[in-house]
Amino acid sequence: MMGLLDSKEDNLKSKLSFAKEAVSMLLSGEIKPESNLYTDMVEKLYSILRELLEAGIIEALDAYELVVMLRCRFSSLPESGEILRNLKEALGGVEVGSSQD
Amino acid sequence: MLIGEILDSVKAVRDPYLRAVTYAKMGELLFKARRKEFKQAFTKAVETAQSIEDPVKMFRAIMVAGYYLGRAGIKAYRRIFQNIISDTEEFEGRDVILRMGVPYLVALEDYEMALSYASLIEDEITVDVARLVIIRGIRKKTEENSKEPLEWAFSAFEGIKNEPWRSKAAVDLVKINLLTGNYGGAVSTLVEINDGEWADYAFKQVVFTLKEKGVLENYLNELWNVAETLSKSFGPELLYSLTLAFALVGEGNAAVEFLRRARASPDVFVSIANDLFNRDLDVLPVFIRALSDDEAVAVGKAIMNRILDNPDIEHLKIVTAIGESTSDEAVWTKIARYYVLTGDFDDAIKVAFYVKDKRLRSLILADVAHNFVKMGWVSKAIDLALEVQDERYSPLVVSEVLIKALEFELRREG
Repeated sequence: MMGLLDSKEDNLKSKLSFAKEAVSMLLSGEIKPESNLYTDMVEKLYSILRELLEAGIIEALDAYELVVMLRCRFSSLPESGEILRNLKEALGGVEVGSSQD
Repeated sequence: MLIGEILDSVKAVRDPYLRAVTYAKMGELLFKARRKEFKQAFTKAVETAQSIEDPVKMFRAIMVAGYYLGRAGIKAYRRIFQNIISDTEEFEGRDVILRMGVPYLVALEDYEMALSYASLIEDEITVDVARLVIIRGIRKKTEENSKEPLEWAFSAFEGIKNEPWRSKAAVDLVKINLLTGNYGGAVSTLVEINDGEWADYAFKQVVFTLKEKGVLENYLNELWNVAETLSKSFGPELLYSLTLAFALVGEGNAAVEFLRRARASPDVFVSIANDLFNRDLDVLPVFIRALSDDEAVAVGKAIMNRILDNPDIEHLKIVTAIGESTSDEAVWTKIARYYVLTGDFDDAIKVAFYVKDKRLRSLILADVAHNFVKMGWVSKAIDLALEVQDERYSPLVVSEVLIKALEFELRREG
């Protein structure tokens, strides 16, 4: 049973680490905002953050709300660059494991 | 102020590390301006660096001097970096020094020397990180100039043993291959990725790039084999995601073929269609047209239900594709309903006459007839109501249409 929990935690850690690097990649301009890959990365970030919240990692809430904004692309929302910068900062404070200790 | 005086004034910088860096930067500027004083500046930079007591700081300052020498295009920088290798042989913190040197050498595009540094590092993880730095450096350079020498990237990659460094390096190697047009190499490197998230990302990048370059078709089989291998390691979720990538670039046939080979259930076909509906209405018809009649029934029902929740003319291409992909009359009835809701009664009637099932045909005709009454087209409504053949509906429809027609006439007269 503990093994299963560890493996779930490892999985979330790896997803969170991916999410942090993905935001940096999106910010760097390496991936064009109008490309399929960009949209896909945003979708991926959304599903990872949902998963973190579902796992009880409440620190991910700010980041989750920012990804929801990024996903909507409403004209009244801040520019995606600004959202991504805030997202990077918000993700910086999210850790898997420490919050449940 | 004369150049000699400026160089002399650097003494005022009290911190020796900063002083060495200042001399080195000046050396580069002087060399580029073809001033003979560059030698003096670089010599001072190295001498000042050597005077630093803290060994780590000292080697760092020497590296900086070497780096600016290299930037100026003076090959002697190599001797400086080579000397550091021999001078640190007995030094306890050698790994730190060698690891520190790698980014400078990468920035100078001296990948050979950078690899020599990496291979001398003893700590397993530090070696991997250093090699990843080399690969990332090559990747960044390749973005500017697609003719970078790839063999160094491959050599750096081969030596990486631990995760997550190996997977991250593999992702960069995939990108390098794509940037240099080595598409087969990009596809085959995908299986080196041992992290599901990164594998998913890199696979999609390959699919999207190959599509953009117009060569995706040539690599479909290889990509299928890779997708199969990756999904064995990371589960069916990944296969789903990879299939979606094909559908998203408008390769409906490939996406459907992938699903069939994976023996996906009808629910999976429906999920892909729903995802496409959420993300790109233009590629959904291509996916639908690739479906067999049976596959299109489940997808058609699900998508038509979503369209009927909020029907819009922008859905027409999807509706047409569904109609052409299945002969299921229940789905056709939903299509007719869409035509009614978007005011295209002629097409709704056409669909009705293709439908053999009397009950479904009657439902469509009754729907159109009711709408004709609403529009004030009473005689057309009655004609249509009389076409309703299902005995369970026929009298009811005719009766309802006639009552509504009477109400309409009375309202008009009154």
